[in-house]
Amino acid sequence: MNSNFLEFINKDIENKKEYISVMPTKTKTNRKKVNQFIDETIDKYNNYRSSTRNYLLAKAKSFDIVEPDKDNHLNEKLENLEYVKFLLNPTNTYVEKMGFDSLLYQISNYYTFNFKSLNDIINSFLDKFELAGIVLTADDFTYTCYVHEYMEVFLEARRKNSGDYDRVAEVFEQIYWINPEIIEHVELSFRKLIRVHEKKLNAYINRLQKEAMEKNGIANYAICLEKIHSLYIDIQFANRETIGEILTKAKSGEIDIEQYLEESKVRKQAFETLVSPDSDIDDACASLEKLLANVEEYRNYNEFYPIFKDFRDEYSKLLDLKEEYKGLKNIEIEIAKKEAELEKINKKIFGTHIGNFYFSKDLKSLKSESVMLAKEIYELFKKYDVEYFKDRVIKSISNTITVADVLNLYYSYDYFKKLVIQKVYGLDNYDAIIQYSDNFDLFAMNATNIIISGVPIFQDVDVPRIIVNRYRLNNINITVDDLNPDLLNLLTNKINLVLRVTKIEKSSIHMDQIWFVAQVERIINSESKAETM
Amino acid sequence: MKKENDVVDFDLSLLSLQELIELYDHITDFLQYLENNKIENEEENNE
Repeated sequence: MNSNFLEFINKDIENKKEYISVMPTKTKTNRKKVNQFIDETIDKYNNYRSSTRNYLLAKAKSFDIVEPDKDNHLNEKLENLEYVKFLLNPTNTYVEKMGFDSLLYQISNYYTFNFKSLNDIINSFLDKFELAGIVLTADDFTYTCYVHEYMEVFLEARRKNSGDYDRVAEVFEQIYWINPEIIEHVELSFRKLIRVHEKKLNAYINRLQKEAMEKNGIANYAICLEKIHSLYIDIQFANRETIGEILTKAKSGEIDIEQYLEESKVRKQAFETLVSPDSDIDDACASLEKLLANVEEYRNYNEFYPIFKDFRDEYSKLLDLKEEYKGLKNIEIEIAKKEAELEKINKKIFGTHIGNFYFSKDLKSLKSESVMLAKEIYELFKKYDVEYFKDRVIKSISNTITVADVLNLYYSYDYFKKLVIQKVYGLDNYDAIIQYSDNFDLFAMNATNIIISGVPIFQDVDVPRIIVNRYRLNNINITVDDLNPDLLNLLTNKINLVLRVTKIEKSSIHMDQIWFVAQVERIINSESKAETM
Repeated sequence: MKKENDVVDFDLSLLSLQELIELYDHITDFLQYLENNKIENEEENNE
């Protein structure tokens, strides 16, 4: 009966089960005979399984899709343009372009987050100065005598370049018990040096800007943005899911291919909702791809909504500011005054040339005074940071400022972005903050964001309703409920299902072939599991 | 024990994709059935 082996096997199995069920089992000989029959049948069926398995594997392999590797040159181009955009960003200053703000965030949160190496942070600061041709020496670190002592030893260890910072650790230990705020004062030192060397650092940034613009053929920031926008669209197109990728996802179980079969209720419902029977399928798919991007943008908007809400709550009162706000200027004056006082005390201390642990009573009290003053200045800098960002906000604030503007503002100021993330999400774990920060940056960098450019930060906007109404015009019948943040995955799965089914139906591979390949993968996986047990 | 010498010829290319999977699953299920229906060996010294 070669015409249908499945029928033969089904009949054979039925017969053998029947036979086994009636075999006598009373005596030992009976039972031996049963087991013998079962063993012989097992041997035979193992052969059947092996042959069938080989055939399945060969058949599945025949449906393999070979696709060329995706070209990375667009991503490389984007990386270059993002670098130019970063350098030309008109929103921030040389401090952010040098990356000093990220380092200031790390050093100011050193105690909260237990970084494994303060040395790495300090070395990073020094590296950045050196990039700009500024080689700092111990004489640059005179914020307090303790900062001077610590940095003298640090710079010596750095100069030796042996990786041995044991002496630095010893001196840190000695200083710490007299001056527990030593790290904060090292931070103050770097803050001052960043201000002092503004001209040289700006010159370095200007040089980098010029080089980057020439290398990438960019005349100005606006042109850079245009090119990035265009590249994003090209990359989105190039990264569209291929049939090979769909096949891989079906094999891995990432896609439940049963839902893609013609008789599937899930497939029917997705098409009913998303594709009008009158519409051209290509047009429908083009709209669905836009909808997918909009849903992703809306997902990100929701995720970072606490940041936008915080901005609104913190800064809406600045809209009513009538006179010139002098908060930043006032705190700068206060800090300058205190630093001048500290400078006077330091002149007396550094003038004595006496080591740390052998000093007169006057010297001891001068050192204590310098530490107390540095502490006060550190507290002033906390207020300074608040005023600095407030000053930035005031420069850009209006009734019509959008979510996109706020996104760009925080993206431009890494230090304040991380502070607000820490605050609104209640995070005290550095890795978690970095995760949020990186995701925030990806959202901010997406040149195809479109919804948030029209959402004013100081007004209530029903974003789901805006999306729903837009796609109603294309006969795509999603509802506001579909855009519930907890149900967005369901919606994107539905959209992806329609897009994938359409793609498969236009390709050379059939849906049942993809189903078959997924089943063979299931079989191989369950065999591997059985073998390891 | 007499070993069966019969060789079964089959042409799996005549089966549809669904039937191929069904075939494999039925064979596997039956093998499990056979294992489950083996009678446990008694101790040798009870013979």
